[in-house]
Amino acid sequence: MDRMRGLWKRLRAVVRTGTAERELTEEMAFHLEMEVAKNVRAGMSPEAARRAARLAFGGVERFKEEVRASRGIDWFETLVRDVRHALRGLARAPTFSAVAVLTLGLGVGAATTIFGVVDAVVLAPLPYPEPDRLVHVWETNPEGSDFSSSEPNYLDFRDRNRTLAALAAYRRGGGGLTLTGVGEPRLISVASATASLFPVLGVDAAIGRTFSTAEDVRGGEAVVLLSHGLWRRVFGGDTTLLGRPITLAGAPYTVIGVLPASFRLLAAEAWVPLAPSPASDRDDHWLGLVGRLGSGQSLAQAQSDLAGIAAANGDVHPVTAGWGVRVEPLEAWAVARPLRQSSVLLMGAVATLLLLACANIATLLLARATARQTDLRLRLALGAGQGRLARQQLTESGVLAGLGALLGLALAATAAGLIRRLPLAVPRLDTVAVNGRVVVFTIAATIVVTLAVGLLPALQAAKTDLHSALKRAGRTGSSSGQGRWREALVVAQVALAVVLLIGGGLMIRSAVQLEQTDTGLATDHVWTVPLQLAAVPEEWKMAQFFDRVTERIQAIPGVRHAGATIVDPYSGADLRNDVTPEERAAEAGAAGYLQAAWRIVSPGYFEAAGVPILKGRDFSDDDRRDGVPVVIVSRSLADRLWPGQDPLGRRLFWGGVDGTPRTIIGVAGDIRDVSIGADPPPLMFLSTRQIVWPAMTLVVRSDRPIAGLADRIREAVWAEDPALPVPTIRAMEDSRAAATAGPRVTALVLAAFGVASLLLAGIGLYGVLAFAVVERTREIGLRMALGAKPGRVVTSVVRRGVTLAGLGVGIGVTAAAALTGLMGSLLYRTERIDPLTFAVAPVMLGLVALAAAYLPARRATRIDPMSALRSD
Amino acid sequence: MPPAPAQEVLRGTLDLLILRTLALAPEHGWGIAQRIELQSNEALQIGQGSLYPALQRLENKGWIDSGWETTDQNRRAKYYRLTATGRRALQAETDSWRRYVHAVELILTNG
Repeated sequence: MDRMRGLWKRLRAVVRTGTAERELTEEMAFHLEMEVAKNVRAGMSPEAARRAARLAFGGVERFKEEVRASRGIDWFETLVRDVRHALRGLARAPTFSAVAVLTLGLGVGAATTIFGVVDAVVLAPLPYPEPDRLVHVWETNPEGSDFSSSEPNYLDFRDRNRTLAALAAYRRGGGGLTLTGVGEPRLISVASATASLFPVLGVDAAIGRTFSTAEDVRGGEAVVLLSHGLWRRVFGGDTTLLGRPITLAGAPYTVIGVLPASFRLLAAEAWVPLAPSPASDRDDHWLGLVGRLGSGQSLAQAQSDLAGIAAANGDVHPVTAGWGVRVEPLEAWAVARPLRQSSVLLMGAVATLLLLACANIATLLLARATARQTDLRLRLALGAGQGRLARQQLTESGVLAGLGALLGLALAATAAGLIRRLPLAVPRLDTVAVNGRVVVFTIAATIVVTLAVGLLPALQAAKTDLHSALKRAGRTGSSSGQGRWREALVVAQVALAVVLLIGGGLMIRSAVQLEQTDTGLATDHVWTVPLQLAAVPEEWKMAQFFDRVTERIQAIPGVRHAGATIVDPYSGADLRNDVTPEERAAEAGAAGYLQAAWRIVSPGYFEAAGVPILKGRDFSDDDRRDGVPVVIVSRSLADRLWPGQDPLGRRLFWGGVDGTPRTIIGVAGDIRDVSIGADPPPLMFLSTRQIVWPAMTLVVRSDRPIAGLADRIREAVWAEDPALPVPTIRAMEDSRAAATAGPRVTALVLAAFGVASLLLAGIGLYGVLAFAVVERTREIGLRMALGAKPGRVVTSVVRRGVTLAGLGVGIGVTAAAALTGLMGSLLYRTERIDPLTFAVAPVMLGLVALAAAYLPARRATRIDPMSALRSD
Repeated sequence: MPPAPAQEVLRGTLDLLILRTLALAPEHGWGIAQRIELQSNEALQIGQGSLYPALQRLENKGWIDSGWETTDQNRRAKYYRLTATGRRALQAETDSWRRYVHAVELILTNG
């Protein structure tokens, strides 16, 4: 107890040096005063008394120094002394220090960077109060796929559930709306939400207010909420905007509020009331549902509650028969599964790389400790305890790790700046930063690195005993135990490198497969131009607009084909609906036969997009609105609906089975214009000649690059409607590349880790073998003096290297085979045990190992037997 | 300053003397030095250079404790007092000192 108190005082003294110093001065002053008083009592004059007292006291500063020394901040002083000693030692070996700090710095930097990304993208909580009470509700179709909800279904869920505090709905904006009246017209993304969405999420407007329930009805007042970004960027943060109208798609909307900057749901730039109606089609699934669990209610309870409502609905409304619900945490919805998996993969890879870097530096430190045995022995002989030596060794590792961490943090901060600007469609990627949590991670990593790097050398130092050390005095040999440790570390490095190489290799194979996937759409010299009409005019005007623009573009010299489609390829947009063959309408009923994607395209689309018509004919101008409704099906849809039969001339229902069936006039090739990694979906095409839409994407194809094509396309668009926002014109190639950017970046990062690990393992192997050659100089010299051929010396060194590398490769391949199972769902058309990858990685390592072994081996042959034997 | 030739206290024994002094009553540094001088009939003199480091050392061991109090003359001073551990240590140190003195005495008289 008393001892604890003593320790506490000491600690306090270290932390609060100022207080301790003040107390010391005061205590001394008191002492002097008492001494003076005593002298005066003894009859001295006050002045003589003071002088005598000072003389008796002695040197004030020296005295203070002595007290300070015995204040007993031993551990702290020792630490400072050890750090100084370590820094001096490192400064004496600048190359070693630079390599070590650089290696650890890169390792820690990579780990910190990846953690920073994972933290921002996956780990950071959603910016809503009590985010774990928020859920996202999916409907599930009879085949079990997730679907959005419909307005009548939403209203039923909202009114009849007993487990949610509130249930809100939102709807994505689709192509967006044109904002006019402020500078140039521009297309902004507008989503709609029920008035309850903001209270459910716990979000209030930063300025103004959110929707009232009175505004959230059909025919309610046209109001709009602006995102913080749009308000700042377009309206210059004008607070007087509240209550004033802005023009969206030609109609006035009153601005009632600005949302906080942290609110990024759907990345929408503006929100309008959703106004769900029970009269809406129950089969139109376009609403996302977000709810907050009622107090004491669990996700499972909400699930069974809502599933009950869905089942009851299915009995009453045939279109929802067989449909269910799936309730998931909002967090899971916001951070998609592949993103989580990639994060785990990257964290695992970077941890492996860091571990490898540590093993590498540990090997170097072990070798260094061996070389410094004389120094250690001297200190031991001078009375330093073994514990002290171990501590000092660990301090040195700590200093290396600390310097590495500083470098790593600097690298991570730079990398974060670059990553924020990466054009990847990853939510919250722009919030990556080196924040407090990231720094805490770096500190934790530094501690791990210190131990990983320093523990072995420290234990070795602790085991140095004076007796045997002195016996071997002078020789800088190492115990065989130490050599074994170094070799074990090298084997570990090789194994880790193999794991990383195989992991990176598999991801590259997968990314290449993805890249080479035939999407059924041409990419060479193909351009896409998404267009959205500002105001929605009469249908015939819309049709005329797109036709005329297409004609104008086709007239540009060099352009071969131009057409239009409703879905901008690779933009993520998709449209699906029930499809039922005429002859199955009775059995399928209102629920439909199967779900298929659908597109509205113009007659020129198939040629422009390079989609072949396999059978039958393309759409033509002769397909008229009042004529026979026609449809072209993809090969997959034809196979699903009429396997082994000719689909031409057959008829199907699109959506409800009560309308007019549509006649199949052609079969087109399969396309993947949404997800490149998925199987081509069954898909049907409708003609712009029969159905009109206000937002279309033009597809333009030429034989060769055309200078200034983008400008000419813009001219063509503005010639028809000068009020349109500046159209974005993208090369199909770029859109496609952007769609696979995520897997590609992951693969590249992993490949970079793999190459780094290969280098590190090579350096590690080289180091150990080179050191072994130096250690065995006498032995090799002796053998050569006795007539051993240089070739034999080389073989013996190289054999050692190959044995170590082989052992590491064996362990690495086994570990990789076990670990790649975890990557399964991230791999596209690539076996988990891909023979090529599993063959190439060991071969690469083998080559590096040979090179790493050959250099020291050659040096061994240059040993001069005479000088080797004469040395020491 | 006392005119008689005073002896500096041996390093190892200073701790013992301080503990013994504090066993009687809490005291400040100057008082401890005065008491030791007085009780040894001024044969022993405590240099400040060794007194305060020794006090610090003993405090670190947890044998004594310190705190600021007011003296009779209403002056703030740092007082040291013996802790329970210190009391046990005093006993052990005293015994060991006696054995030591006895051993030295034996040699001086018989040798």
